[in-house]
Amino acid sequence: MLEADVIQYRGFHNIVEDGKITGFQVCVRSDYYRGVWLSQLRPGRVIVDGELFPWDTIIWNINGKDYTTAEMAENSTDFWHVDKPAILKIKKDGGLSQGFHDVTVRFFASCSYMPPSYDTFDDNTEFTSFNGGTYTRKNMCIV
Amino acid sequence: MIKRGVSLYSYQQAEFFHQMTWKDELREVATNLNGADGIEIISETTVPRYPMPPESFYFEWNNEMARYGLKAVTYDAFMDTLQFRDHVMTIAECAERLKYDLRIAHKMGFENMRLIKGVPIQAVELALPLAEELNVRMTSEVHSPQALHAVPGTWGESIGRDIAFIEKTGTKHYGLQPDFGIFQIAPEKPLVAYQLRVSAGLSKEESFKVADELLAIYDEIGYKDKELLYAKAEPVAPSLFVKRPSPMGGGLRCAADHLFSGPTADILELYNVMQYIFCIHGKFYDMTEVEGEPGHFEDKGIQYKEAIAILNACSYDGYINSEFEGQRSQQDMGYEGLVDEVEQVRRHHEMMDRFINDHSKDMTI
Repeated sequence: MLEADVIQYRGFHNIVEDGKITGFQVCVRSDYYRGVWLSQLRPGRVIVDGELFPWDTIIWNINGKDYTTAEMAENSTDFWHVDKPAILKIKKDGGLSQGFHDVTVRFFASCSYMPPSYDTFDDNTEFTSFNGGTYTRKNMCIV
Repeated sequence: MIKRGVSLYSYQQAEFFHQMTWKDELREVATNLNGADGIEIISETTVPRYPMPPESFYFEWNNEMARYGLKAVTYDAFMDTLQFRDHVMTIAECAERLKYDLRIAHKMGFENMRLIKGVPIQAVELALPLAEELNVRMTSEVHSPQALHAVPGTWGESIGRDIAFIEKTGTKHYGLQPDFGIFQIAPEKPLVAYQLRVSAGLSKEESFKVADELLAIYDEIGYKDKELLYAKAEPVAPSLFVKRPSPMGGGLRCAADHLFSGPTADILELYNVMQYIFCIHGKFYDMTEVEGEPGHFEDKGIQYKEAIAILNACSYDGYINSEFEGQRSQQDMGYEGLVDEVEQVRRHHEMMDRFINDHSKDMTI
């Protein structure tokens, strides 16, 4: 089951690899009313407590598979269904500290029936519409 | 006689909260909507592993539809022309996708296939022989901000193109599918309140209170005298009047321009295009109880009464499929603020059933 907010509380935690914390992950649901091919996704930046993680350094895990943003752009066969969360994996040595964090995620889905201007994804604005935008959730807890 | 159905789009929130599956939704339509029997779907949302669902899905689908005696009315197809990042899909690729969708729609028993706006008519032309062979009728949606006549140089140009194509080919397998959002005569309270929360950070209570004030001003002045309407409404809710560059083009726009636009099509234009209409999207946002009439409901913003009177007068015997969209502007208020989609659709059918069966004098335009 998904949470109403685009950014999900569930699944927000540090990533441990070989006994070391190498980063953190946060889950999002799609804000669009239909699923999209991965190539239609326009992934954007993640900001945690003011620290920016550039869009092209983030790994998206969809349907259990990891994709770089470059791989997603090329992938016209795998599909992100509207009722499944995506896991965003972000590298950060030591991960996030215990306690509360303000998280912002930006992404968009292209839809060809809207004017082309809608599809010009700009990572540096806050423009939000029915098919994507900037989402913030405050006081996300890491334990 | 006008027939009633439901687009499963109406239950999207219940789907993503995993409260209902498409099977639950079929049962709901068949059991609780007083004789509604039509079903419309969004292609890949219902069809697993679209565009190549397993054979077992077709069996399950057709079995459930038979179990409840339901009619597969319309399959909503899309056209993601940017699916391949190294090129925009060509006309031939678009036609190929339409053919795939037609085959899926046909195997699921659908009578119509709604095409998304912007599908090139040349692609439609290439897919038409298959549509005729399978007897699945393609429809072009007429959606707000379009009118029911061609407006050259705008998004609303395509209806002229569609009608010219139907006349030229004489086909019975391409037609129109108006969405009642084009008859939006007054703003919807939940949408106004949502914009107030987004643009001015109002609380839930405040947002609905200010929305009430704005709707009272709109009721008094209407949408035609924009200058007077804006002069009175702006002091009540300045944030709705902050102009920004619009992603839709056309210069600077504010939220009020969208909320207070009035209908984009003249209801009387329905007469002009009636012969091309295969199916209708019964768009609605907020079904509230009619004052002084317990058990009767209405969407105050959309001209349902007038539209259904005209459809009755023209002996329209196709479907109006509920398309509830009010949930999307009320998902920012926590679980307790979520709308009950099932109840909204039931109310919508109470209203449609009443209007369809009312031939009294006050229904004439």
